[in-house]
Amino acid sequence: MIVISIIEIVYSHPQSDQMYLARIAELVRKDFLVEIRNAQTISAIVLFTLTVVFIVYKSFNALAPLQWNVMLWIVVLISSLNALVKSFSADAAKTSLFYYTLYHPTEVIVAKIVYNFMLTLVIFLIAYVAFGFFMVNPVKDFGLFIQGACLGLFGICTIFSFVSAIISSQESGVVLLMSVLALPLTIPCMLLLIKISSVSMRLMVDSSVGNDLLILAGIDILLVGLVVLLFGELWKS
Amino acid sequence: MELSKDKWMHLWYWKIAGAVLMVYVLIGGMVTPLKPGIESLDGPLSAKPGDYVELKIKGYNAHYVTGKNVKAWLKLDDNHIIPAVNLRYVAEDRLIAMFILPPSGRKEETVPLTLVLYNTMDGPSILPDAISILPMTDDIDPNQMIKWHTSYEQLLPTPPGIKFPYRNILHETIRNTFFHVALWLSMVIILLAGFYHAIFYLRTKNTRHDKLSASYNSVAILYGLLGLATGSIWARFTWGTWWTTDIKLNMAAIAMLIYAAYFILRSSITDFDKRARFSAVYSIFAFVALIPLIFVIPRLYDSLHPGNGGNPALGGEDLDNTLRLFFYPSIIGMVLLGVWMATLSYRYTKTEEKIMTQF
Repeated sequence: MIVISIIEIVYSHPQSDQMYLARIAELVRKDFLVEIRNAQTISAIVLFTLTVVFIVYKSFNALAPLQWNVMLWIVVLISSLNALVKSFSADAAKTSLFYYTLYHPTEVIVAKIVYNFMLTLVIFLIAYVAFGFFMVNPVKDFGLFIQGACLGLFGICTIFSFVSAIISSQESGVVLLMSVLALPLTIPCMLLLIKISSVSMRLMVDSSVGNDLLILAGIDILLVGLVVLLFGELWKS
Repeated sequence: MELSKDKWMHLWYWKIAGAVLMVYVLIGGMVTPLKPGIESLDGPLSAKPGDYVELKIKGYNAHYVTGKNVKAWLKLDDNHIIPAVNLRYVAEDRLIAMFILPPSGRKEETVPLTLVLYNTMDGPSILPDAISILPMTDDIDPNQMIKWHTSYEQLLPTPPGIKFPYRNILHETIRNTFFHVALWLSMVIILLAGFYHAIFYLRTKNTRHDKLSASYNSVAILYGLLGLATGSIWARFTWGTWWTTDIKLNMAAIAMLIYAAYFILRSSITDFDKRARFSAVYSIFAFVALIPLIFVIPRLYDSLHPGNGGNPALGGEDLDNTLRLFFYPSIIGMVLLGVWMATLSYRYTKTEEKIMTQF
């Protein structure tokens, strides 16, 4: 019954035009152009990431693989939180109304997740390279590490996109509210991510790491499905 | 329309039922004694076949002096049992049992034996891994040694009366099943009610569902906090600390954080309609995100909780019928009381809104 009601929520939306991948790509391109033209945001995020990496490096000086692993993910988490917090409030209210008439909410949120995922990956790559540059890179199984990173970061950026949509109508205290709402939700993804990357660094022996990857993928699918279902409700404001 | 739907909230019998069940669980769960058990054992950890061993037994709730027909056995399996050669009563709860160990029949391994005690007042009590028999060596001739008995001398009847099972480590804290475990289960049930109303708010846009959803969620948080508190007190007496790195404990704390954030979100939005919509969306999201947190992640890690890593737990023989006698009523009673509290909170917010809109 719950499933039926969720489906009804989606289909009761006034606009149920067909979706096109091209339209989503168009929205992603738009986000990308906005980011490039207003280059101060992206450069601030890059600088933020590098600064935090440097603080970590100078605080520890030499990091054991376990600390390297955990600090890397915390830096990526905090940086992407900062990067994604404005992902909806960057558009002015009138522009949102314009999109509302043009696009289906599913297209909007999928485009946003795709764009945010790319942004998160960029932040991750910067943090990863910087961590490897300043401190010895302990990753042994790079393929596993990247698989875990992609799945985990996708889940995290889905949560961040969704929560930033929830708080987009707030005038003040956005960052604080975002941290309070989103960070506890990311914990399942973070724990699995750290576990998988620990295995990829041979910090722990786990023959069932494929299972962990599957569970992480399952969580991702669950989150995306939920966000797509619920976003129509948020988008009406 | 609204009134007829909320009519059940004004009825009294289910509230009385909840209160009566809780009083029953509180009194019955606290007063019912534990079955006698073997609290600790003083003696060698292992011995060679043919050795004479003395086990100094400290019983719990036991009656070794007043009880009749006191017997002790060491048991390898159901067909390999050796009775004590002699018993000495030191005190009501202290007993010294003397055994001569037969050969284990295994060349390489050390075999653990289970200690079984019986008297007419207490019924049987059991301590696994009481002592181990060392492997056989070549100079032992099995034929010259004491033989295993193939069964108990007689059946061991349990004396009548309701008593909770005795488990080492858990001891008296087994009563926490009725409070700690029941609190978590009823929390999940009440969260489900909040989830249901959040979905129905989005479907109908009736603010009744929004208020009910918030009320259920607040009661669920209260239950969660009580669950953490009872768990923490329990952990102090069984694990030795108030808080551990145990995965279930920390996931539960995170679940509390998520729902606390729900109320922060509610209080940060002033517009009624927007608040209802956004908090409904967030609570649906939070509830579904909670599923991996509570049901998936804890299974991937080891836990100190009973039921994980060889610890005793619910299910199987550990949740026996005497515990069920209080455990299920406790869940029902807690859910009923929780719904009662939620309806009170709902009626309060409804009245508040009515008064506010009058001016």
